[in-house]
Amino acid sequence: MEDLAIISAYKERRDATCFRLLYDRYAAKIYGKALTMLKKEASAKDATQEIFTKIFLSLGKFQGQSKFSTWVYSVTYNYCIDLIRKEKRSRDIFADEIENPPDIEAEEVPDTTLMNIKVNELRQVLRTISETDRRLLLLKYKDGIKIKEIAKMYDKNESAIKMQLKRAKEKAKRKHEELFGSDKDE
Amino acid sequence: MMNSFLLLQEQEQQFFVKNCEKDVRDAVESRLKTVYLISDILEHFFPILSDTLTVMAGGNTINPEDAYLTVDEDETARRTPPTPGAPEGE
Repeated sequence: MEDLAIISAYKERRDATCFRLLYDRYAAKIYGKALTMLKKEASAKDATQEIFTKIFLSLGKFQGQSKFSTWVYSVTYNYCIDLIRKEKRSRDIFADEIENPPDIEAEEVPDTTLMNIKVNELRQVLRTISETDRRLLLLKYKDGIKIKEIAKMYDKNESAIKMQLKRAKEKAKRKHEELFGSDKDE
Repeated sequence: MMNSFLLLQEQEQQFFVKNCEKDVRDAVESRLKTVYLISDILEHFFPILSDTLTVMAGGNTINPEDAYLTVDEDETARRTPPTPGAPEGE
C-alpha cells in the first residue's frame, strides 16, 4: 500500500492500523538518522518519539508535493539540527575551515578503504574522530544524503562540504591504521 | 557484499526494532490519543461555549441555528413523540 493512500486513510479515520503501517515503515530509519545527528542512543530514541508525534500531528500540512519519505527525513534533520543548536553545540558542527574553504576542488569519490573495513572497526574509528567528521561521514555514507542536501542542511556551500568530507575520510583512514595497524583493504 | 556503513545502518535499525520500537510506538500512540481527545473536546464544545459567553455578555451567537429555538418557537417540539414501532411523529 502506497504511503499516500495510508496517509489519506489515516487523516479520515485516525485508524490505528494506518498509524502502525507508517510507524513500521519509518521508525527505524528515523532512529538511524537521529543517531547520526545526535550520537547518543537515548537521545536518538527520544528524538524518534518527538519526530513521530510531530509528523502525525502535522500530517494535515503534508500535501503530497514531495515524496512522504523526503518530507519525513527533512522533518527529522530539521528537528535534530534545532536540538543541536539549542544545546549550543551547533557552532562545532563545522570548523572555521568550512567558513573559509581552501581553493582546491575536492573530488567526491567513494572510499573503498572505509567502505570495506569491519563494522566493529568502523564503530571504533567513528568514536575516536571528531563529532563533526563523524556526522559528516555518516550523513554521506550511511544515510546516503547528497552533498547538495548536506550543504543546504547546514547552510554551507557544496565545495566546503566536499573538502570537509575529504578530510574526514583521511582522518578516519589514519585513525583506522593507528588502531588496527593495517592497510590490507587498499 | 554490503559496505560497512550500510551494515552499520542495518545494525542500528535492528537495535531499534529489538530494544526501542515498542516503547516509542506506545509513547507516540498515547500522546496522539491525548492530543486528539483534547482537540475533539475543544472542537465540539468551544463554539457552543463561546456562543454562550457572547449571549451572556449581551451579544448575538455567531451562527444562529435551529438548535437554539425555545420549545415555544419550535413547532416540532409540540408533536407527540414517536412510539416504538410507529412511523416517526405518530
